[in-house]
Amino acid sequence: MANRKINILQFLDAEKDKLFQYLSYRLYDIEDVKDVLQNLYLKALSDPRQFDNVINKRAYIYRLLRNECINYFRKGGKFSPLDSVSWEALSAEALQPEDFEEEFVMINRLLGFLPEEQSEAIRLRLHSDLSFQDIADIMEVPLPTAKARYRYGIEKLRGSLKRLNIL
Amino acid sequence: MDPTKQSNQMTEFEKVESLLTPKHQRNVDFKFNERRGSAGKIFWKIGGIAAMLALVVTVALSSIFPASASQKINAGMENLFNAETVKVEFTLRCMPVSGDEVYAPHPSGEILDGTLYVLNTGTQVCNRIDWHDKDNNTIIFKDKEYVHLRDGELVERHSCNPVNEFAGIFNLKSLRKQLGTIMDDADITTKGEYIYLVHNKGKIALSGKFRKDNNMLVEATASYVDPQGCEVSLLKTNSIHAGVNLPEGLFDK
Repeated sequence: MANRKINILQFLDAEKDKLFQYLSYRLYDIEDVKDVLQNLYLKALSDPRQFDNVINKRAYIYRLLRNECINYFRKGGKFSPLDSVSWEALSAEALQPEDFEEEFVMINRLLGFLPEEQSEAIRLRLHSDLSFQDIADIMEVPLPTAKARYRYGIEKLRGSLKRLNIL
Repeated sequence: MDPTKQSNQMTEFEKVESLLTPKHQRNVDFKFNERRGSAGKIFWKIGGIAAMLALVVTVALSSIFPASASQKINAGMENLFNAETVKVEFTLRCMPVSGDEVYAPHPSGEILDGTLYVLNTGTQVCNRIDWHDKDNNTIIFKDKEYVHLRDGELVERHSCNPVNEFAGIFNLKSLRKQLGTIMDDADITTKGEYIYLVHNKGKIALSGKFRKDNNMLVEATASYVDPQGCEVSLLKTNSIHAGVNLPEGLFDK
């Protein structure tokens, strides 16, 4: 049993950077990021046998992580994605962030215009640097669907920004 | 589609991808062993565990002074901090961590036995913990060096800050400071042949039960009380010996 737990820890350590960045651009507050990561660790440890039996462990961990994020927002997390800013309020300057805070706002503002499944595919691809196969396994959809969600999301943003002449 | 238009669209597509790709990423400042205190999760700071161990070692040392309960405990502190060697066998509820200590206490963890050795030469303090796990993990702090062994074989060696949290808590001076804090906030009662010391630190309760006649520790525990009121034992010492003969080379590798 102890070895199973050490295996989980080693796996999570190897994925730590990607998990951290994914959460940073989800939650903003660094203490919340650390809390959710710690909850993820405990959740994975609570059933080491299941972790062992899973074929795609990365997908399993990210599914747990997404559930932790949902729980976080459900409990009134301090930050939630912006979804009420109109396209017209965007400016060219807003698309040139100079630090993490400005970049966080910009990314979440843009992704807030998309359906959840498209923005999630984009986050997993660009913030966690995951393959489309991994994304498909995490979202439990066929590979072409995962690719389509990503492509349609980017394309929708491209069209809207182009119409505003700020691309 | 006009190839030029298609090319422009591809360029714009890539521009959007670039916009959404982080360029001001934070440095990753996180360890899975890092103690978090929010969302109802209580991570017992290992300093507290060490203070508990210091407490039980202190009062386990003989004191011949016919004093009050708290004075007996305090009198033992000097003996502890002057003791050359200490050996404590303990049982800890813990989980594996990626930090130097290999295991850290946690109410959701599993039970694991360990043995702590402390050597105080007067100029330096050496600490060693043998975790009684399947891999026979051992950690040693000596001077400014940390060593991790597995089945007697070297896993890792690196220099460590002398005030490294783990090394520092087993440094007897820092233990003394923490013990003083515990004593200030503790309830000390006497009943029959025993002295009882209880200290509550948030959701963690420390208790010690000592014989009055020889100051020997009979029972010492650290427990966590969850939000439902269920008590989970975190730490229990099984034996404490001061002034023991420690094998030569115990802190060397």
